[in-house]
Amino acid sequence: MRQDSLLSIHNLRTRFHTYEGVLTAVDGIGLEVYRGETLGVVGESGCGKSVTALSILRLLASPPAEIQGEILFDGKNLLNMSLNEIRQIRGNSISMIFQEPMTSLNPVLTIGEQISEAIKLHQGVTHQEAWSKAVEMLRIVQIPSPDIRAREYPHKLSGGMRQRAMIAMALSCHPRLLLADEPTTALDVTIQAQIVELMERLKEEIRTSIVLITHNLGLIAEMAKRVVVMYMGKVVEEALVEDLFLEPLHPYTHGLLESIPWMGRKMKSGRKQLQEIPGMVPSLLEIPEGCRFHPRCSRVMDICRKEEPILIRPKEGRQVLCWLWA
Amino acid sequence: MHETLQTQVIRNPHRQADSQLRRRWAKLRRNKAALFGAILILIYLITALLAPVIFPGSPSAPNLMKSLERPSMEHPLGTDELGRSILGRIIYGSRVSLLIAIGVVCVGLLVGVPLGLISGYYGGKVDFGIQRVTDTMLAFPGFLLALSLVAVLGVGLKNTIISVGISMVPIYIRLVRGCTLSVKEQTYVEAARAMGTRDVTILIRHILPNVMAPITIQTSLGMGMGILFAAGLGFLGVGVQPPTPEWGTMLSSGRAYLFNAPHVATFPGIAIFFAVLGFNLSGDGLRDILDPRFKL
Amino acid sequence: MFQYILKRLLSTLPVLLGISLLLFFMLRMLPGDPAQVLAGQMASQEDIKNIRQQLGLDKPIFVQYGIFLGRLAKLDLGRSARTQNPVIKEIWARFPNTVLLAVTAITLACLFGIPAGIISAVRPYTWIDYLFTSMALFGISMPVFWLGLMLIVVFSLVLHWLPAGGIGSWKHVILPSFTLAAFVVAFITRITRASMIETLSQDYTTTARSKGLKEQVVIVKHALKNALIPIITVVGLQFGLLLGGAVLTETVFAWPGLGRLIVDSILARDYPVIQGTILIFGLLYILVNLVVDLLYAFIDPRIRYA
Repeated sequence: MRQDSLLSIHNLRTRFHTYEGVLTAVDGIGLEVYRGETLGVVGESGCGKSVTALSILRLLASPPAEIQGEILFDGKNLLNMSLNEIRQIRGNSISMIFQEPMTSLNPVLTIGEQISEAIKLHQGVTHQEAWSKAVEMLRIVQIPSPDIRAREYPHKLSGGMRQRAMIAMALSCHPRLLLADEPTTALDVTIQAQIVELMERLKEEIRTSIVLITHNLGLIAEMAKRVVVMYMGKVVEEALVEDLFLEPLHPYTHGLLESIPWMGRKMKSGRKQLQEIPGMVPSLLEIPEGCRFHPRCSRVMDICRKEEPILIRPKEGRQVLCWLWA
Repeated sequence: MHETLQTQVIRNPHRQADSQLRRRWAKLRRNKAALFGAILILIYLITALLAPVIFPGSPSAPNLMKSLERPSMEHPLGTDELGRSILGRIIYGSRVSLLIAIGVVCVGLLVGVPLGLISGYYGGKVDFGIQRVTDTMLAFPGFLLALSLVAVLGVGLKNTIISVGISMVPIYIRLVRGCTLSVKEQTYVEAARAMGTRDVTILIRHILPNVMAPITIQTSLGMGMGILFAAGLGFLGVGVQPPTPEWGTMLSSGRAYLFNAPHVATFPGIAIFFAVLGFNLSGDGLRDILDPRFKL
Repeated sequence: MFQYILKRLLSTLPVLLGISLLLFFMLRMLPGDPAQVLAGQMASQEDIKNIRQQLGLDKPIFVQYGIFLGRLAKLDLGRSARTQNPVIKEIWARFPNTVLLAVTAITLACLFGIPAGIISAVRPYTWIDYLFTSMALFGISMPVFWLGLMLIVVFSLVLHWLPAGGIGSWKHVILPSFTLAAFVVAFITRITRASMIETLSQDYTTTARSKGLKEQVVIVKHALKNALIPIITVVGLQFGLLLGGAVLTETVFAWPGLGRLIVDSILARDYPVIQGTILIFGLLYILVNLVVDLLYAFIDPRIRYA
């Protein structure tokens, strides 16, 4: 483990006990987040990326959730901590922002109240001090007239402003790690760009590392330094952003990149057509045997159908879960 | 490679449909409370249908020699002030209550559902009119509404059914209208309209099936409510009249003898309780399977 | 906010109108001569003639309605056919008793029901949830008058702790209000539980937890406040029902309230009083609904500024 490793996940397994069976949303993944970097986590809906983030902060109700493994932060395993200890970390050392700013903000409390309560809790200051810090955070995220806005309720703000408020709320105690779960997905494209720029700037100013969870490859290309690709609860590839885009190793990653619509691109036959990965993601109740991706893989081999691949390190800084590289 | 997944689906096109049914059945079996409720209702139905078999003899024939006897081997639940077996009267009373329960929801459905559909579908002045009437009716507690109607119509079994039934109508109207309003906006309804389908057909084939779930739930709960209301009217003396054995009416006569013969009032009440409990549990269970959104 | 209040007040007018129309036509739908009906069995021809004149029964129906509304505005609800007292006096004598019972019952029901609902929601599917939910279910399934009778048997006849009926001391209030509360608490527990489960599963609750707030704070400050709207709706609804619908309980406990007034009037065919009490119930119900709507605006800022 490198000296500047901030978060270190080993063999994380998150399962849900439901009436229909046990759903393993995250099946033994491992990843590292280093100080001062943005790690991208990419995958389709349902691949387990959000569950991973929620597992880090233990925001899943257990039961029915069951989390195993090791999540090391500052050398301590978050999964072994008591709930009280975890609460001291939440909002303080590790923060999270969510996809839907409208439903993620409490409609009956003012923006200022929602931001300052975390400040009051973790920094032990008076209400007035917390309030002025909250207003200051709103100013930092470039919300105009922050002192007026702080007294308003979430429904009065536009989508972009709400997301900024969420960011203000998450960063108010200067956390060392920010978990961003699809932060721009629910926003207009123009606003997306603004939020991305804001996050980059704040990352520098507050020196926060970010785990950026998204299915938007463009966002990853812009913001992330390293990327982790997830499929059906497993990490199938890990690389630096440039390496991933220029030379994807896993067939799934390759498929993802191919499916980005690209003006002017033609198939070998000369026709222009949207590329797709054939088939659908199977339900978690019917996980394929062997490699999980094999039913949809264009380069499937016999061993893929029978045995689960092991994690392979073909080059420095790259990992892939595929028999092709064994 | 693609074959595995896609052909799997093609070979079993019914998989989607029957797995949903299976899931619902599994859910029902899990819900022990609802099962208990269904059993209660079953017992109730059997008692009502087989009353003469279980208890031969007339439940209303007086036998003053045995007036107000405590529960004994001969009369397991004791006798009332006219010497009649309370057990017998309760058993026959289940017929009366069942009749009331069914009658009441029939009135509610037959009047409330069409009005609700029309109100929700057509909107405009029709909706406004119907809604104002509904509001007015709902301005009164249900029981009071039924009581007022009884004041106008008179007492007795038939009037009890009509009055309690009418007091249920606004509930159905509201329920059906609300559902209709949301279904109306669906694209397939728009499509049907664009194709020129007649309104009546749209209402029956597209909207009604979607309203069935809340209607069914409400019906189960309504039967329980109907029994309670009718019993209340009976208790006040303005419902089913003696000598017809209705549980509420029995309670009213039992009240006079509360001090020396409390059993007269106790047992009919227990009967009401279990019948209504059965309908409430089943209604809740139905809600669980059909639409947890309406969970209250 | 002001606009909201105004709009709400205005929307009560059609309902008030509807009630008045209902009462107006109800009388005329009864078999027999309306004047006779109002005057009652004991009336003399003189009385009947007087009433006919008062109501203007010989005039066209619109004029009659106008007269009716005019009298309503003056709170002239006629005279009881039984006691010959002005209806408004009969109502006013009993009104405070009903309010006392209703307020006590609702308070008891909320004191028990809301915490029970919250606990059930926070620990769903545990034994305590099943306990509270079952109690709630029993409460709704039980005939309220039967419960009252059973309580009388136990606490009055057997234990001699409490009086069996009537009004007078605080002891007289206990059994009837408990009986009423038993029914109401069922609704309150259920709606509180359902509403809390709903809010506890919302995204903003996860957000609140992600900030490291203590669970109590999350439940009370974040979830409960949002859950209050349906809860208040039900509490208001029940309160309104209690004001008029305590008919059965009042009968069982011989409580001199509006409920008993209407029952006695129905049995005695005392139509002026029936009309008057129905009107009052309607008014009270509308009033309670109005207060509930105003409370909504107080709790939920989205409604305040809509």
